[in-house]
Amino acid sequence: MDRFLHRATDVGGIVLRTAIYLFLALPAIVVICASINPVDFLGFPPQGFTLKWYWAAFDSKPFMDSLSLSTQLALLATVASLIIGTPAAYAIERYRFRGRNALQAFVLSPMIVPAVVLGIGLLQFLVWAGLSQSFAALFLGHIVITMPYVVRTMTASFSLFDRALEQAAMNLRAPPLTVVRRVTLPILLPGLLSASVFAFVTSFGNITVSLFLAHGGRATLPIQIFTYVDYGSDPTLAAVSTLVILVTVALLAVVERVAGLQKVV
Amino acid sequence: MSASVLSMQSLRKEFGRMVAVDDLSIDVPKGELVCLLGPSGCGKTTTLRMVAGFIEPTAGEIRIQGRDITRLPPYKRDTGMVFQSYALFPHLTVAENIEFGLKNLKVPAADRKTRVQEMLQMVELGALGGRLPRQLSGGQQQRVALARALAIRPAVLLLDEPFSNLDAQLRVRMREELRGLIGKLDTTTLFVTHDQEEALVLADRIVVMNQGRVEQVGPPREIYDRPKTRFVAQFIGLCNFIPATVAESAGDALVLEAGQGARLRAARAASAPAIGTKAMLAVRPENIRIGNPGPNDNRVPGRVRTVTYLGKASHIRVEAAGADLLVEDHGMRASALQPGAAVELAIDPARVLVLPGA
Repeated sequence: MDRFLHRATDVGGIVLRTAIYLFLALPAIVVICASINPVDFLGFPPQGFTLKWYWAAFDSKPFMDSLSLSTQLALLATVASLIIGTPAAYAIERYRFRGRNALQAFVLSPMIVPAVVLGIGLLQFLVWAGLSQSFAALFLGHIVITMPYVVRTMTASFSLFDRALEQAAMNLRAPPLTVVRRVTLPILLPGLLSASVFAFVTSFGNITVSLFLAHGGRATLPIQIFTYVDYGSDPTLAAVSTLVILVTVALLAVVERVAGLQKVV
Repeated sequence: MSASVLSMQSLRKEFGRMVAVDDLSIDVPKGELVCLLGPSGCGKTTTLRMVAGFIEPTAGEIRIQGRDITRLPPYKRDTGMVFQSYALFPHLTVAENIEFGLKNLKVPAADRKTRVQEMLQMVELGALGGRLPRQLSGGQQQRVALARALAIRPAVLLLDEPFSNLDAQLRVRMREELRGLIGKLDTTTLFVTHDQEEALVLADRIVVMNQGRVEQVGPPREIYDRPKTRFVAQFIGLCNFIPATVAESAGDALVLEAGQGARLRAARAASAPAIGTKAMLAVRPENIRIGNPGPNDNRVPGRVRTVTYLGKASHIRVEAAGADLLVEDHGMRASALQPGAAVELAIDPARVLVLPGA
C-alpha cells in the first residue's frame, strides 16, 4: 500500500511538473510554430514548413530599424548600468555607512515599483527636464530598469569575493593594476557577465517604460511588435518574436555556462 | 642588530581608541622561527599584517635585511605569506598559483617552470600541478599555499594560523613537515598562532603576547619552565597558583608562607621579592607528586577532593596550602586514592616559581 502510494505520488509529481513546464513554455512554442507555418495568418498548429517569414522580417525596414534601436539601447544601458552599478554594489557590500540600507532599497526599487508607474514618473520628469521624445530619454529610462539587476548580481559577487586573495596577490609582488587584472577581474568576471546579460535582456524586452519614452516615431522592437499586431496577423511577427526568443535564450545559456543561473537569480 | 633579517622596533598600532599593538620590539636573525603566541585579540595577527604591509603601523619601524620597509606597500616587501584561509587563487591551477609570484618578479619562463616543479616536488604534490585548488584536500591546499609563498624565496616567511583549518591528526603531521621544510631551507619565519602546543613544537623562540603587549620572549623550554608572569604560566600549559608571603631568605632559596600553615621553599629568582611582600607561587601539575618525597622536596599535607582518570594519566585535585591544587599523576597510585583521603604532596623547590603580586 505504502509502496503504491509512493509510486503514485512520484508519477503524479512528474506529470504535474511536465504540465507546468509545458504551460510555461507554451507561448514560446506557439510563436515558434507560427513562424514556420506557411499559411498567411498567425496559425497553430503548423501546416508545413517555411522560412519565408524570416526573410520577410529581414526585409522589413520597420522591424530591422527597431531591432537595431533596441540592440543599441540595450547595449548602452547595460554598459552604463555596469559602470554606475558595480561601484554602488561595491560600496553597499564593503562599507557600513549611514543610509546604506536606504541606498540599497532605492537602487533596487525599480524592480518593485510597477513599470507603468515608473514609466509615467520618468515621462513627467523627462518632459520637465526637456529630454522627452529623445534617445537620451529612452537611454536614461533603461538605465533605471537595468540598474537593479546589476547591483543585485554584483553585490552577490562582491560578498563571495575573499579579500585575502587580493592581499595574497600583493604579497606575491603584484602591483595594484596587476592584482586587478589577474585576480580581481577574472574572479568577478562571471558576476559581471551575468549582470550584463540580465541588464541586456531586461532592457531588450522592456515595453512598458519604452512606450512612455519612445521618441520621434522610432520604436523599440517590443513596441514595434506590439503595434504591428494592430495592423494584422502577419506571421512575420512570429518570425521576429522567435528571433528575440533565440537571442534571449542564447544569452541566458552563456550565463548558465559561465556562472550558473541559480547563483545569480 | 644588523645581523637580524627581520627587525621590529617600538611598533605600535591604534585602531581608534583601542591599542592593538603596544611598543613591540623583536629582532629575528637569519633562519630563526619566531612564534607570536597569544589569545585572540592580543595583537599577534595585527603585528604579522604590519610586517606584510596590509596594516600601517601608528608608530615604530620595521626593517627587513636592514632596509626600512615601514611605509612600503605590500608588493615592495620581501615577504611570503601563508594565509589562514590559504587564499589560493580559485581560477588558477596549482602550478599557476605557484608561478604567480615568479611572473611578477619577471623570472624568465624556463626558470619559472623549473622552480614550480621544484616547489611541487618539495611539498610532495608533483602530480597535481594541473588541478584547481577546489579539487584538493585541506592539507594539499595548505601545501600549495606554502609552496606559493616559498617559490619567490622571500627573506621572511609569514604564517598566519596555517593549521587552524585542518583536523587534529593532519595538523600534527603538517607541522612536522613544516618544521622539516623550514629547517632545510633555513628560512627566517614569523609564525602566528593561538595554539600553545603548536608554538612549543615549532618555534625557536616564542613571543607571548597579551592585550597588545609582549609578556615574555624566550625559547619554548624557558617559556614553559620559567614563565615570568601569571598570564604566561596560565596560557601555556596548566598551572597551579598559590598565594603566599615571602617569609625568609635561606641561602639560594626563598621560604614562603602559604595558607593552612604551609611553608614552601622556592629556588631564588633573579628578581626575588623582598621579605614580607606578597607573591604568587606557580607550580605545574606534573611537578607535584603524591607521596614519595625526595630529600630536598617541599612536603605539603593535603586532602584529596576529586580524582579524574584520563588514560595515560590521572588528574587529582588536592586541597593544600590554602589552594585547590591540580596534580598530574602518571603512576598507578591514583586509582587507589579516594576523595577525602589525607595525602602528602612532594614538590621540588626548583620547580616552584615565585611570581610577583598576590
